[in-house]
Amino acid sequence: MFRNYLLTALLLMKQKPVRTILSMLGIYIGVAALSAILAMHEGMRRNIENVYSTAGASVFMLQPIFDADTQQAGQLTPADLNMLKTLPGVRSVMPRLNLSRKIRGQKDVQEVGLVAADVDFFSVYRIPLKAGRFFLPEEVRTRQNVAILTEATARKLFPLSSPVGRLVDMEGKTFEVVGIAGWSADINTRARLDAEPGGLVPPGCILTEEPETSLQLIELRTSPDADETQMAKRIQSAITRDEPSRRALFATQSLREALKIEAEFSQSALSSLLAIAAISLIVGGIGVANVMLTSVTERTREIGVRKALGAKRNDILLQFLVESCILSATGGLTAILSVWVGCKAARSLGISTMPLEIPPLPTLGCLAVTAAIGLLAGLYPASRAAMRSPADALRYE
Amino acid sequence: MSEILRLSDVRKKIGEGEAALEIVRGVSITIQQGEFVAIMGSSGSGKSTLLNMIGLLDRPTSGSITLMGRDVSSLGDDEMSELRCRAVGFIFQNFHLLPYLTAMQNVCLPMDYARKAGAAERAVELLGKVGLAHRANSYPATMSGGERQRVAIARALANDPVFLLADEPTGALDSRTGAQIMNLLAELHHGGSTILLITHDEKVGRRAEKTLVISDGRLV
Ligand SMILES: Nc1ncnc2c1ncn2[C@@H]1O[C@H](COP(=O)(O)OP(=O)(O)O)[C@@H](O)[C@H]1O
Ligand SMILES: [Mg+2]
Repeated sequence: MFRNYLLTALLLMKQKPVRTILSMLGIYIGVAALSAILAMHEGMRRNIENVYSTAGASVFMLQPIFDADTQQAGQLTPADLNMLKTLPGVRSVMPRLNLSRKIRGQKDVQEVGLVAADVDFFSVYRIPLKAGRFFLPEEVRTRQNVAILTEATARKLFPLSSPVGRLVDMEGKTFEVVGIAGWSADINTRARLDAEPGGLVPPGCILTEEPETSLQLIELRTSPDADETQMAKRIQSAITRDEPSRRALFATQSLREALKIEAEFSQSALSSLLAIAAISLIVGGIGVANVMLTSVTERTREIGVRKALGAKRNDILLQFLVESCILSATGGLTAILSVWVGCKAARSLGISTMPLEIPPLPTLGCLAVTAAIGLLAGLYPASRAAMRSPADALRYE
Repeated sequence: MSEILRLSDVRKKIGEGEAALEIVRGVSITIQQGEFVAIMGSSGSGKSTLLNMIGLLDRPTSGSITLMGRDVSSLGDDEMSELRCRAVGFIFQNFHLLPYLTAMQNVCLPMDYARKAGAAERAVELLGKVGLAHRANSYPATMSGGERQRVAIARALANDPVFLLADEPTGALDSRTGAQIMNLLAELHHGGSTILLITHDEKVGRRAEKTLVISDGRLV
């Protein structure tokens, strides 16, 4: 019997394709919006997870801040860098530096964004190597002019042959390209970089040794077994030298903490979007209900005929319910399918910085909700159909 | 011969108060197994209303209907459907086939509602009986009026009903096709079917064994 309801529903959908598509569209849009947001939500969650599982999850960011009360700003100097290096529990420190340099390639000179990177940088942010090698500890320590280009920049500057092992000119200084890094959008998030850099050089090549040089951010990597809260306290007290007046001039935050706060913020922004998407799903449900009501009215005579042939109230009720559930479930399924395809495309084309992925459980929930909407939307029209007196239904013109 | 249907003083009132209209005003009939009865009357005389009550599609305002010795007035809607499904085979003036189903699927409908197995085989057999085996997979829109009515007759026979109820079965057909349909009904009658037919056409009415005349809601 259920097969018959299904068959009838499909036959009718085939008979009225435009109406079917229009009524599905509302559900489609609602579910598409909902699952796209869920995918973003999931993407953020995975980003955080990525950071947690990073080899150097215990990464701390130390930044000078401006104290509005005393109208003073903190100052981080190369001397602080040396001092922090000796703190117990600290494995390595590195100033976060970025600048741009004009690099002469095979064909022309191009402006390339550079980021400072020491040996740990590559393992902490899990940067894959595509060719050549990463920096050697010796090269970083003695500030040799070596560079690693990201893949895209390597291709742009050296379209004809691999740059590994070549010497390139950066505004008068000669650098040796030792490797090519496979950069992905994920790394930007993990390292909290605004954009993909064109290349990486040891910090010493960029940093001048003048004592008044002010650093915007110092990155500290601690040993993995160090306690996160205690470590943050230790760094903070070292940099403030436990002077109350300096307390408000520096901020120490673990990378984990920073990303968590950021993710929580965007997740709460997403939650309000989720509400909007839910409303559009309800609107879609109303659309389905409307189509079903029209259908019930149009098919009054059919209902009469079916009852004359022996259909009970439940037979009619189920027939219309199956129909409205199919309408909304088809809309929902195609929506999820297209968002899934969209996520894959966004990832493989590198449009999205997030590991977009439709989470299975919420998606199942989403489908269940869709089916429920189909049920709810069909319930009133279907029960109206089922309650019709067969004699009246047959007289209906 | 056993009695299968008895109506006593059946009345049907439509509307309330001032606007109330009594369409059927005290009809009593008994029908025996194997009879072929025609109820005749002019248009608007209340024939269809009466037939709907006999076929359990509608309830009388007063009076009683006894089907196979069972008073149907106490039945609920679903029990009426159940009984209608097994006991009554409807044939309508406008065929009332479902346009999106094939002839065979249309014939299967009553058996589906009776939850009967082997519906497809039986449908093919019935279509053969009405001479339409070759149109089993055709849609109603591709058939002539006479063919559609024969599919409808096959559908009415699907659950081996106690009786067939035909509401102006030739009303939408030309006289030659109408005569063919009447031949088919006569054949079914000879095969043992009980048939109750309503019509306003003298020629059609004459084909029945017994003729009752209704005028203004009363048998005369
Ligand atoms: N549900 C109804 N509401 C209003 N008028 C009705 C209703 N049912 C029947 N009638 C009226 O009652 C009369 C008899 O109807 P009907 O039984 O269909 O006659 P017949 O089948 O003999 O032509 C007609 O005038 C019809 O308009
Ligand atoms: Mg009539």
